[in-house]
Amino acid sequence: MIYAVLSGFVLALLAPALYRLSARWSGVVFSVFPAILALYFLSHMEAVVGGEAVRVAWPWMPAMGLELSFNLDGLGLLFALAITVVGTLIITYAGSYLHGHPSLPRFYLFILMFMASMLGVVLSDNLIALFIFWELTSVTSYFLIGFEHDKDTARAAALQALLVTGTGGLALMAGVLLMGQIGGSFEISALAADNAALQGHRLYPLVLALVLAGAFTKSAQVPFHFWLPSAMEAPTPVSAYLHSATMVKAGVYLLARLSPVLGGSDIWLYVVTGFGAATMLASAYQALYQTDLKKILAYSTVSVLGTLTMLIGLGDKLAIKAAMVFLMAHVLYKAALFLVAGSIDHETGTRDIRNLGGLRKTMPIICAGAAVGALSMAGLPPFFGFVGKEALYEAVTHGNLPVTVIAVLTSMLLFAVAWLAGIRPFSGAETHTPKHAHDPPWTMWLGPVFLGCLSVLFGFMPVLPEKLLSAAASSVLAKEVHMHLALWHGFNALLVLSLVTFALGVLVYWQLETIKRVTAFALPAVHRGPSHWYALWLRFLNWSAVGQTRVLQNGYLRLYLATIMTVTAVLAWYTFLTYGDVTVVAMDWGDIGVHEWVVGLVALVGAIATVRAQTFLRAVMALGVVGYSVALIFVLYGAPDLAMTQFLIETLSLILFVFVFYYMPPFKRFSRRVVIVRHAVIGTAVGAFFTLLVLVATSVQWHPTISTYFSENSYLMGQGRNIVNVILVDFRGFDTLGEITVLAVAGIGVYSLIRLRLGKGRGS
Amino acid sequence: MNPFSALTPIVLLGLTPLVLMLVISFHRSHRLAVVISLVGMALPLALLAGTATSAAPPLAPLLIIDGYALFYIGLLSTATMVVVVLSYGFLERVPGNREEFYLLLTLATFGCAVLTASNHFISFFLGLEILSVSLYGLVAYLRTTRTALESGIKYLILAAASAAFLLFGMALIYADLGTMDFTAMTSVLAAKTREPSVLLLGGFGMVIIGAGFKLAVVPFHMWAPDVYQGAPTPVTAYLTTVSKGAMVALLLRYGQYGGLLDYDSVASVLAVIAVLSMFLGNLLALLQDNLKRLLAYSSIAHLGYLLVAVIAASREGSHAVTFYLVAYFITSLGIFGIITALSDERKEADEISDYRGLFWRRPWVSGALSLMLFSLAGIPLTAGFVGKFYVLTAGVLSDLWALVILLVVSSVIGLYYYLRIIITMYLSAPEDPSSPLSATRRFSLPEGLVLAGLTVLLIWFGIYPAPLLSAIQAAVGSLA
Amino acid sequence: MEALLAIVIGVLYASGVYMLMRRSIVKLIIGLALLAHGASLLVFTAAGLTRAVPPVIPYGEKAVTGVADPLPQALILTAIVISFGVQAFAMVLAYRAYQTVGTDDLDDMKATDT
Repeated sequence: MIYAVLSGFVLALLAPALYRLSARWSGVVFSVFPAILALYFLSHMEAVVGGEAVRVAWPWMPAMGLELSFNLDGLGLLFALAITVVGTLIITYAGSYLHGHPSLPRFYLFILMFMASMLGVVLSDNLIALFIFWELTSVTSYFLIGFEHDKDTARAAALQALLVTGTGGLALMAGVLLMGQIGGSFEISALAADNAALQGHRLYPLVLALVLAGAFTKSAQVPFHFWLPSAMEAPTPVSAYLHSATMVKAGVYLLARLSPVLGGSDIWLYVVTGFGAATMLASAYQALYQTDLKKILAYSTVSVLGTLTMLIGLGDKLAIKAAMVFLMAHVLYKAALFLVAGSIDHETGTRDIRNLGGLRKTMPIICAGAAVGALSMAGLPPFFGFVGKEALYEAVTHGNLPVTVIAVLTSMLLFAVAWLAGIRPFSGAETHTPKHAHDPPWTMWLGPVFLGCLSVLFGFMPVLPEKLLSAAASSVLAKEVHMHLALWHGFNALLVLSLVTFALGVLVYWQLETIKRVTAFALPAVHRGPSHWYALWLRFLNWSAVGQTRVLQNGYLRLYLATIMTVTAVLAWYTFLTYGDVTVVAMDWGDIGVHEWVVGLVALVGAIATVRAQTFLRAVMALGVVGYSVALIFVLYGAPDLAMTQFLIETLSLILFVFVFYYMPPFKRFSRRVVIVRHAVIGTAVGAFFTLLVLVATSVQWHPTISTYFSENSYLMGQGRNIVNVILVDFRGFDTLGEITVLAVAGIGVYSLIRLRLGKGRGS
Repeated sequence: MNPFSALTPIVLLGLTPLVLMLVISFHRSHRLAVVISLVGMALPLALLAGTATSAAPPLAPLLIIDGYALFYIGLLSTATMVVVVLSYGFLERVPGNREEFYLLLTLATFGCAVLTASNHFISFFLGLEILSVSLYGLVAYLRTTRTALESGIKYLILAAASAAFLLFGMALIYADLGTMDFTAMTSVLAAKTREPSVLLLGGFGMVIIGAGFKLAVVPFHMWAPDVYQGAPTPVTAYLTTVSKGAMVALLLRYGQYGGLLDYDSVASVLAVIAVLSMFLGNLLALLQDNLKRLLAYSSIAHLGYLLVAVIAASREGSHAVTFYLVAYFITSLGIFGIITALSDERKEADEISDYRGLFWRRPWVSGALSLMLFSLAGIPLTAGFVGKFYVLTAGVLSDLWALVILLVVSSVIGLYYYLRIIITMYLSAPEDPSSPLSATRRFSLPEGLVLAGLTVLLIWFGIYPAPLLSAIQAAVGSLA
Repeated sequence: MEALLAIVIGVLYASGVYMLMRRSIVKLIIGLALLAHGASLLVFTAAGLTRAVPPVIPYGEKAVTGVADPLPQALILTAIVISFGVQAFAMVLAYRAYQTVGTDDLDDMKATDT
C-alpha cells in the first residue's frame, strides 16, 4: 500500500518526460495510473467491508517516534476510491481540455503529485504523516490554481487559497503536536482507543480550536469560505478535482477521522454543528446571486461541505450514516457538473448563464450528463442524490428543530441552484455564444456520463454501495454499524418533507429575481464580510510593517545604538530593582589616599573633557589623559604588566589617531539640543547602572577562587615568578596566540582597505 | 593519548590562514588561494572521522574538544567551503586583490571553531573577537562601494560596543562565581542557592547582549538589514550561517554549564527576545523589495524560532537547535548561493524584481530556489519543515505552549513573503527588456555542483532525516 | 578606592555610550576607546583590588597568596590589545569612508536603506 501512495510522487517527477512520448493522447495515457490504483483499492473492498482494516507501517524518523503508517479502513477506502476514480476521469478530460497548452506537462506533474498527497492524507494513520500530506495538497493545489500564471486574478486567488489553507495548516500542526503530547501517541488508532485522557485535559479546548482551524480553512467553512469561489480561477479540471471531489473534502475527512478522538463532547457538538449549519445556509444563499457557472457550483459545494460538517458535528449514528451517503452522492454529481461547466466553457467560450441557452440541441450528450447531475443535486428520485437527501432529513429530524429548518431551507435553495447550473443552459432558446457549440470529443464527455450512470445506478440500486458506506460509517463511529438504503421508504414524514422542499425549490426558481431583490440586504454581510476582513488583515500587516520600518529601521546608526542602550538600561534597572540588594553597597571613602584621589579625578576630568571637546585634537588628547590614568590605576593596584601594555598601546593609538585624522575639520554641531539631552540621559542611565553593579560586586564577600591555582603552580610548573606572564605564556599560550591573531586580522583588514589607494594610483 | 592531538582540527584551521599568508606573499593567484582554503577546511573534516570517537580531554580548561565541538567544527568548515566556492565566482567579477579575502574568511572560521570548543570566558572572548575583526574586514571588503564601507562602519561600531558589554558581563559573573571556566561554574552554581544574585543576573544580561548582537535577534538586530544588503553576497551568506552558528553552539554549551537557563527571569527575557524576533522579523520582511534585506529580516525571525528551542533547554531542545541550524545552513547557503551565482558584472541579483520570469529562462535554478524558500517557510518534504517541527516538538515537550502558538502565528506571516518571491519567478518575463539583470550567466561547474548538492541535501533531510538525527543525538549527547 | 573607581567606570561607560550616539564617525571611535578603557578598568575592579602587590612570586618562595588576582589580568591584557586592533581598523575604515563620501557625518550614510 505504501507503493500505491508513493508511486504517484515518482510518476509525477517522470511526467514531463512521459508527456513527450505521448503528446497527443497524454490524458488517456496518464489516466491509466489512477485507474490501476482504483482497481487496486477495489481489490481490498472485500476485506475492508468485512471489517478488516489493512494496515502497514514503515519506520521513518524513529528518533522522533515517527513512522509512516497507512491504514485502509472503510472511511479511507471510500475517499481513496473517490480520489482515484474521479482522478482517472479528470486526467482523461484534462488531456483534451488543456490540449496544446504549453504548460500541460507541468499540469500532469502537479496533479499526480496532488493525487498522491491526497491519498496520503486519507490513508495515513500517523498524524504527523497526515499533516505532511495535508500541507503537500495545499502546496500542489497552489500551483494548480495558479496554473494560468499570467492572469493577475489567478495568482491572487492561488495566493489567497494557500494563505488561508496554509494558516490553517500551521494551526493544525500545533494542534497535532499538542494532541500527540497529551495523548502519548501520534497514531490515530491509538489515540482513538484512549480518548478520555485527551478530552479530559485542560488544553482540550485549545487542541480542538487548532484542529478545527485546520479543518475549517481547508473545507472552506464560514468565515473562511471566501477562498474557494475565488479559486475558480483554476482551469476547470482542477476545480472539478480539487474543489468538488477531493481537497476541500480533506477538512471533512479530518473531522470524520478525528471524531472518535476529539468528538462527543458538548463543545464539539455545538461548534462543529454550528459552523456547519451556518456555512450550508449562507453559501446556498450566495450561490443564487452568481452568474458564472463555476461560481454557482463553487458556492453550492461550500454549502454541501457545511452540510457534511454539520452532520459530523451531530455525530450520532444516523448523522454519520447520512454524512457518508451525502458525501458519495455529492462526489458523483458535483464532479460531473464541473466537467459539464468546463465543456460548455470550452465549446461556447463563455460560462455566464445569462448568455447561455438551448444547448440541448448542439450538445446532446453533455446535456444528458448535466441533466442527471442536476437532478441528483436537486435531490430528485430516482437519482442517488435523493437517497442522500432522505438520509440527511432522517438524521436532522432526529436532531433538533433549528437544524431541520436550516436543512430544508438549504435543500430548497440548492434545488433552485441545481436548476440554474444544470438545466437552464440547455433549455430555452438558443443564444449567440462566442464560439459555435457542439459536443466535445469522447474524452470530455466520458466523465459526466460515467458519473451520471453511477448516480442513476446507485439511485435505483442503493444496495450496491451500501456495504462500503456502512464500513465507512463504522470507522467514523468506531463501532460496527449496518445501514439499509432504499429509494422507496414508503409514504412517511420524510417524503412529505422532500415534497415540500421540491415545491419550495420550484417556487424559488420561478420567482428567483424577486427573491434576490427582496433578500439582497443580507448579501453584504455574508459575502463581503470575510473577504473584507482578509483584505483588512493584509493591509494591517503592511501598515504595521511600514510603521516599524520608519520608527525602528531607518538606517541611522545612532538610533540603533540608542534603542539597544535604552533596552539595556531599562532591563538592567528592572533586574537591579527586583533582585538587587542595595544595602550591601558600601561606599567607603575613607581608605582612598591622596594620590588615588588625584588619579581618579584626572580620569574623570579626562572623560568629561573628551566628550566636551570642540576639536578633534583636543578630544584625542583628553582621551590620552583617560588612557594614562587607567594605566596609573593598574600600577597602583598591583598590575605592572597591564600598566606597561596600557601605556604602550595608548601611545600607539594616540599616534595613529593623529596620523589618520590630523586634517579633519573641527567637529560640527550636528545634533539638536533635545537629542543631546536624550542621549545624555541614556548614557547616564547605563553608566549609573554600571557604577552600582561594580559597587555590589566589590562589596560582596570575596571568596578564594580558582585562580589561586595559578598562584600556587606558577613557579612550580611554569618556572616563572610573574604569574600573569606565566599564565599568558605557559598556561595560556593560547590567549597570546589569539591576541596575536586578532591583531594580525586587524592588520590584514587595514591593509586591504589602504591598498585601494595604491590600486587606484596604478590604475589611473 | 597526547591531549594536543585532539586539538588537531583547530590547529589545522589555524594553520590554513598562515599557509595562505605565506603563499600570497610569494605568489598571488586567486585559484591557488581558493584551493588552499578548500583544502584547509577539508582537512579537519577528514580528521573528524578519526577523532570523533576518541575521548575528549579538556585542554587546560580553555577548550574542550568533544563530540559536540567536533560536530559543529565540521558543520562550520563545510559551510565555509561552500562560501569559498561562491566567493570565487563573485570575486572574479570585482576589481582589486582577491586573495586576502580568503585569508580573512579562514581566520573567521578559525575564530568560530574556537567559539564552538570554548569552555572558558577567555577563549569565548578571543574566539568572538577573532571572528568579529575578520568580519569587519570582510564586510567592508569592496572598498570602492559606498554601501560596503557604510555596512562595515555600522557593523564595527555595534560589534565593538557589544564586546564592551560582553566583557562587563564576564567580569560580573566572575565577581559572583569566582571562575571563568564553564565546567567549574557548574559545580559553583550547584553549591549556591537557587536565588540568583543581581551580579549573576546582570552578567547573564550582558552575555545575552553580546550573543544577541551576533545572532541579530531583536532588539540587537538592527545592523542586520543594512549589513546584509551592503556586504558582498558571499559574506552575507557567511554572516547568516557560520557566524551565527558558532554563536549558537557557544550559547548552548554555556547554557548547559553556566546555568544561563536555570533561572526563570533569564528564560523569560529570552522568551521575550524570541517572540519579538519572530514577529518583528517576519513583519518587516513583508515590505522588502531587496532580497538580501528580506533574508536579513527572515533570518531574524528564524533565530527567534531557534531561541524557542534554546529556551526549551531539554535534551530535545539541544537536538532541535542543532537540527534546525543544519537545515537553516543548507537553505541559507543555497539561497545566497543562487543570488551570487545569478549576479553578473553589471548587476547583483538582489532585487526581487530581478527574479521576474526566472522560471522561463532558468527552470532548474528557479525550481531549486523555490524549494529553498519552501524550506524557509517550513513546508513539508524539506529540511526546514523537519527543523521547524522538531523545534515545535521541543517547545511542546517543555510545556512552552504560548511560545509554540506564537511561533505558529508568526510563521503564517512568513508564508506570505516567501510565496511572493516564488510567484514572481513564475510570472512571465517582463516585456520591457531593460531589466539590467539578464540572468544568463552560466554557473561554473563547482557552483553548479555545490548548489545541486545543497538542494539534494535539502530534500534528503526533509524526507529521510533519520541519519542526520542520530548523528546529532550522538554529538549533542556529549554535551553535559 | 572601589567607590571612586566605580564612579570612574560609570562615567567612562556613560561618556562612551554618549559618544557612540554622535553623528561624527571620529567621535564614534573615540567613544569605542572610552568604552574599552571602561571595560578593562571594570574587569580589573570587579575582580577585587589588592593594593600594590603584583602577582609576582618573590625569590625564595614557591607560591604566594594575597596578591592581585592574575586571571582577570590576563583577560584585561587580551582586551586591551584587541581593542587596539579594533580601533586601528575602525580609524582606517572611517578614513576611507571620509574619502569616499566626503563627510564624517553618519547621517549621510544610509544608502542601504529602502
